Amino acid sequence: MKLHVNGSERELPDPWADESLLVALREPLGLVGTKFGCGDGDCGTCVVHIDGQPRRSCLLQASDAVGRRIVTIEGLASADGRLHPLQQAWLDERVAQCGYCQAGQIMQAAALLASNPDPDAEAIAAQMSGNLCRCGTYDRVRRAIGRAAAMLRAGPGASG
Amino acid sequence: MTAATTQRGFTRRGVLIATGWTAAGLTVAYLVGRKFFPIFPSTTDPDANAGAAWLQVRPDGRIAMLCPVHELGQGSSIALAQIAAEELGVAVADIDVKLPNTAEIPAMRFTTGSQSIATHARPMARAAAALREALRHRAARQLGVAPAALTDGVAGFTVADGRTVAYRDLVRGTPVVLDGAALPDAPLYTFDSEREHRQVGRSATPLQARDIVTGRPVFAADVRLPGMAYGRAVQAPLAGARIVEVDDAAARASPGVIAVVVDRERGFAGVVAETPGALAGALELLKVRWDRPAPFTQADLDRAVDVDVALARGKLERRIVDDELRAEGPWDIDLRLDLPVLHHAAQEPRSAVARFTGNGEREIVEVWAGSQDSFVNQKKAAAELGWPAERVILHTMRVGGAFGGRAIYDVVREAVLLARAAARPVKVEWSRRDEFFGDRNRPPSSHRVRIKVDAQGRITDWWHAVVSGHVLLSELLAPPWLLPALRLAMADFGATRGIQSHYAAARRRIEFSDVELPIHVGQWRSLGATPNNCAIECAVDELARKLGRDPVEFRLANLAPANARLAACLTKVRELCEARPRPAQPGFGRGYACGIYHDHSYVAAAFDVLVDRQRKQIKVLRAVCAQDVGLVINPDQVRAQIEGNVMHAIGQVLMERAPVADGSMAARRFRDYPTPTLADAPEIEVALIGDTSNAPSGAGETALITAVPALANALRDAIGLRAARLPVPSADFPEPAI
Repeated sequence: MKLHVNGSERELPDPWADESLLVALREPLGLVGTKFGCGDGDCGTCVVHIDGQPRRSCLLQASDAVGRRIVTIEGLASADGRLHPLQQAWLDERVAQCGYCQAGQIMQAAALLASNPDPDAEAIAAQMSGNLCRCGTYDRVRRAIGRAAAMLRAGPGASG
Repeated sequence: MTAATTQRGFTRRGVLIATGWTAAGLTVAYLVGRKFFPIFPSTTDPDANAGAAWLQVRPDGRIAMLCPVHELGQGSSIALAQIAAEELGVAVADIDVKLPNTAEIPAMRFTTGSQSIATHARPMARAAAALREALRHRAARQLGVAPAALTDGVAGFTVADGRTVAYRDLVRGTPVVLDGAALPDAPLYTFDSEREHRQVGRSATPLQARDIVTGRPVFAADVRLPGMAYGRAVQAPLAGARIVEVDDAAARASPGVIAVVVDRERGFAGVVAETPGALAGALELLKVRWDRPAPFTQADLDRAVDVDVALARGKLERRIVDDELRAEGPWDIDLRLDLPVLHHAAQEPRSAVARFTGNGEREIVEVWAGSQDSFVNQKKAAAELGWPAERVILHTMRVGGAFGGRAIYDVVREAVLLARAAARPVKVEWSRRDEFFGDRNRPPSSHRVRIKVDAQGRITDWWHAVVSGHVLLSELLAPPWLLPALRLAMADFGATRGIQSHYAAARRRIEFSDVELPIHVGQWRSLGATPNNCAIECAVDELARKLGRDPVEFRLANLAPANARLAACLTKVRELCEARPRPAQPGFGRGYACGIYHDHSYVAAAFDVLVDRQRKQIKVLRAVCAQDVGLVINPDQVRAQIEGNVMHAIGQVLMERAPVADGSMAARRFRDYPTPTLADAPEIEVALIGDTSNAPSGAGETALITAVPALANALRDAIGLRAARLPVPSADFPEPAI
């Protein structure tokens, strides 16, 4: 079984085909940036993009993602290593405390900015309130999304 | 369930002596097999010279730092690097910070009580300054000048004639070794408040920040080893519970299972499987029956800690302050407040990876785990195996949120026992169900605060009675067989944290009982300080209202002497609040609170809320916090901690209560235990104030002790609701008067 992850085809060894997409990404494929938080779809820590949509990888079987484009936090930066504006904004605002939920937060926010380049506070709350952060970094998450949105609107080449 | 309300007095000490343990200080032990090995939590503060083991200059001139504190997201690692950078005249980015393993660093104190900077700042500064001076002497020899002729440069020194020498030119071939027995005294730039600081007092990029946003491995569960299998144990419902019956036939036959491990003596039952999915399937089939606790209800827990029930039987177990109170006259305020069981609900499930290598006497086990106490995990794992501690190497990993819940030996034990049984490297990652069911919860507590004032509104008589479940007198400090004796011998000094109020009163009675509960209990951010201060600050707030006094002015007038730093926090918070006029909007409320955490950290907080009574909705608009923790090494990290405490306060006041159902703790997933989300986050304003010549004190939990009562007081201000218990669900709000 093959998965299309972060722009390349990855072979999934046999015993892993029956696992959740989250486990398949983390264990055999080594893409450990996506985290396990609950396995119930309650917390958003495991969000990845599937065909551009934010999805909770703990609720999907690996086989559900066959033939679809999967992007994880490891695939968010440009191929040349330049950070996605959200990743940069996350560093600039020093959002992370423990850091565990942050990949899911960033992937959820990236999907928001892809569909809404200038989200207001309500749009941010509507998109992000399913991503739990026990450290309470929410105010900075909000600020980082605003900062990244401004960077994106300013266009490539502009820096935050 | 034992309602420990009887007078025990000296008999407690007698029991402890009878069991061979004296109550002088705190004696603890860990039970392994039939032998007793005393294994203490790592409570020892680093001594003045400890920093010698934390720093070195590499041949390329870069500084390497072994981080002597566990990194839980509180940011202490980068703050300590800033101190080293300040002393050594380098950028923080020029210091390579490593979370060490137990073979690399002599000791680490457990990372609890917001003490990392308070206890490590000076040893770190001393070591870095000694390193700087050793380099200066070496440079002086190299250049043929007196050491005093060399002034500090960037990662090196300069001479008046313009010559410079870089650290990298000084360490080629010969490493700089510090004598840890006696570091020479050198000027400490960090603590020189006259000096313009380049690193200390500024923001810096936290450790692993880039790894986090790019998805690099930093947590224990991110570790992958060749041949690794996946394991997990069945969580016991209570510390010390014994296995009565195990049905493991179906689990053994489940596909992908490598081993089913049942060890009744250890109270351990677990599974190792080829994949996480196979593991989960087998664990569903492994049936374990435990000898305790008996089924209980929420009403049982409420009754166990009910302060009025306890007081009706007479004095509580401990009179912590026991003045003779004035008998005449009614109490001006008599307030009851009950606080619930809380879960930690950290985002990262407990995880550990264990791998055995080598043979016979040379066999070792390496463990990768994030905890608040690497060394106690190392020592207890070694005792479990009957090995000397050196044969267990524990790699300290970043922790995905601790909040007090990661100081004990739990998941490391599972990984070690399962990896040994399976003869494979094993990764253990708790399920979310395990995280809730096996959580060492904050116990419930029940408070009654009674206050009398004189004609001028000065507090004269103060009575605070508290009944709480245990906090520190738990498996953190002692094995199950010793706990009953410890609990008889002393009051739970975690539950009593912050019980001494910061208000002056001519006469005070402060009394306390701790009770045994049929649930897991343990340490939760700030321990008893938030419950105790919440009761104190709600009562004082209500008293000010009753007397028609301004709540801030009333507090300032009644603070105990020598509380100038606390008064300054309160005054600053009021100033920040009043910078915006109170809106005339119905349902608007503003509440204040203040407090002192761990004797040295001063804080005041305020919340603005807007309550829509018709819709029974509450919006937390704004949180304001002024904090004086002396010298602040990294202001942005302290702010971040305050922001986190604000969110925890919103959870505690409006949402969080661990559910009980079907005779036991009932939360199994996040949906069962709602916590704040981004939609609940208010605007947060923080002022870090105070004299930077004061030593740094704890900042990680400090704001919580005031944020919780300030929000409760804001609800009182908004809609007249004086909460008798937390949380206050909006459904409980009173209907509009008209």
